[in-house]
Amino acid sequence: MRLNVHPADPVSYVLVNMAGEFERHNVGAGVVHDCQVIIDEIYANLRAHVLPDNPNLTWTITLNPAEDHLEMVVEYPGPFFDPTRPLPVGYRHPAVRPEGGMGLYLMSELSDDLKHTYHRGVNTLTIRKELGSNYKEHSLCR
Amino acid sequence: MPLNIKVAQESDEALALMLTGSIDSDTAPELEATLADMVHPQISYVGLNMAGVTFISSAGLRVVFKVFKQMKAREGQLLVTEMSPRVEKVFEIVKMIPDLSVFASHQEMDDYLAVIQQRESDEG
Repeated sequence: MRLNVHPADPVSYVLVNMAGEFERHNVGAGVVHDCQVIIDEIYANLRAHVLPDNPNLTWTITLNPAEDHLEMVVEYPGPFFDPTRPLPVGYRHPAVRPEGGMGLYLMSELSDDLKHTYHRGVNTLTIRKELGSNYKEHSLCR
Repeated sequence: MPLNIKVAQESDEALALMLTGSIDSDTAPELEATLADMVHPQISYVGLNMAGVTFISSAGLRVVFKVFKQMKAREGQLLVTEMSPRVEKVFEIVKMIPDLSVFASHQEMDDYLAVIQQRESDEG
């Protein structure tokens, strides 16, 4: 499943479409929520750091389900932008840390692997999420 | 996934909101604007009933934390009730749970706010 996201699309468009796809693959509600938080954080990052310089940017999100995990691949063309850096060394409570970083921390805590690559003008963010106990049925590999 | 915000209780010193839907990066500003509009300087207790909240991301957490700081500065409290386990997990990850007054039910929060209101009328 591959979803094209245009700058005017609300985050709910992405979350609802992805939710439908998660449901189609019988992914447990806990994993769905974790993945949706990650997606919201990525979109918010792109809006804050990428879209201002490229207001017509269309980005894509692809869901690759596997037996025991999900892989979400986010691709956006343009200059190098790695939303996984800098990952906070140690999370500090919002009261004692500067603004920002909470979304990045959530993304890193909720994903089992988070990797950014850049190749020929395309940024690729690959997120791996283990299904674990939230995996309801073995219906992902068909 | 819109966010629905209803006033559950309002007095001179306390405000309780019933939230339903998604607190995401698009809807969090609505909550922030509502709180900015309704939390006047006398309010020192804000209650958020989150029974109907299906989703929260860092955008929503920032709004909740902002009102928490506001109440703390007024020596008041932010009260939260009926978070789903999925929503509570997000609060736990960012270590906000110890700061919040988390009530198990809306009734418990209502009772507490009623005490506040009673105190207001006794003092007023």
